Amino acid sequence: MPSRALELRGEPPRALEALDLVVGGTAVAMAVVSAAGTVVGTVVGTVVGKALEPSFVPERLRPRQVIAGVLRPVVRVGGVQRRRLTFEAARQLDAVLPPVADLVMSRLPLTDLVRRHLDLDAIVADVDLDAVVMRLDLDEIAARLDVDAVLDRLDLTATVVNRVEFRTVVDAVLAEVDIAGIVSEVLDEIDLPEIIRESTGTMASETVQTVRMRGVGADEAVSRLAARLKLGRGRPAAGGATPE
Amino acid sequence: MSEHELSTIPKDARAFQGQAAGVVTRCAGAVIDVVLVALALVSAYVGLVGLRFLLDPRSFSWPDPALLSFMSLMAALTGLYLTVAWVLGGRTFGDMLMGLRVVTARGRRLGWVRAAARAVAYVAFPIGLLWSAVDRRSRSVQDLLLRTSVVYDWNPRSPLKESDDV
Repeated sequence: MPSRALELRGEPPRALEALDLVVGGTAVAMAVVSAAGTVVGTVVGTVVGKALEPSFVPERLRPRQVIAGVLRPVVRVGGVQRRRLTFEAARQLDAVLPPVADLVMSRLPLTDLVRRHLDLDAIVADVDLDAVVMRLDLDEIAARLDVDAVLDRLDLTATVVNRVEFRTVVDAVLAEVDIAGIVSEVLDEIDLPEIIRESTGTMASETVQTVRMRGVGADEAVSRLAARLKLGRGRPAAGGATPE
Repeated sequence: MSEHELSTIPKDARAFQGQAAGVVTRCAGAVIDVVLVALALVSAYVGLVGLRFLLDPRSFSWPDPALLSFMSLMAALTGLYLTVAWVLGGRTFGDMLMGLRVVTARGRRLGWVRAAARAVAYVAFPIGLLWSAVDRRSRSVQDLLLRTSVVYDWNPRSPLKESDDV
């Protein structure tokens, strides 16, 4: 029995036995039907047509018609049996085919076969990758990327040191920066003259500046006084006293 | 003046640079100038007397100083000094000490003619300087006549353009 091999491997023999039964039954039924057909054919073939269909006998009573009428129920039973058996066979096949296919597949080096017989390049060339990419939501994918982790894996310092041409970069930066302006602003802020004066300690210069500042203060005081006097005399503060 | 030029002027004084100077500062400058010229004159006189003494000590007698000639010499010297100083530097020594500069109405240095006229006017009528106390733009009588003005300018070098006087 071929099921023995399967039985030894622990396969359930029940399904196979059922299959055997179905196949056997089908064979027997087919034999019966075939035999019936053959008998009919032989009878029809061997008996002369004329004899079967004597013209003197009425149509309904001719031998051919009579034989056909006798065999018709048998043929009908045969047809029913055939349909039933086909259905049964299909049902059994559904139960049996998956494990069999599994077995076959496990025996076949499919990857190797595909590699050997399929032109994967040609298949891939036919695929519209652009359309596939268009259907991908790249933003969504990018949002899921852990950029920090990616950056952690990169040695940015080494990359910059190795790949950046510092001279060019620095030149470009310097070309953009108004160094003279910055220096001037800084010096404006730190009051360089004052620092120089303090560090050199030139008394004369300091005295001169004090005298000048006093002079400016006195000038302002005098002009304020003059303006007040003009107002006191009922003249407008601006322009009234100018003898132009 | 270029945008980034460094200023040697102290921060406190930058605000009033280029503004019309008041009467007190101007008078102080004028007094310094007069004292300077007088000192120079006295030194010259003493020097001359000393030289005469050295040359002929026996017959030396202290010369009688004629006040009139001294005053006229002093006036001439002052006028010359003021003219030269205003034309060449825009300022006298007194102006320099007080941080002043004499300029035309357009802010330029004085020409010879105008400087000389101004010097003569000051020597002849020094009291005219006091008008700057009451003038709206601190101009003296001489400034009004000759269209000049005196501004605060603490910058040691002159940033002013050359004279626009003929």
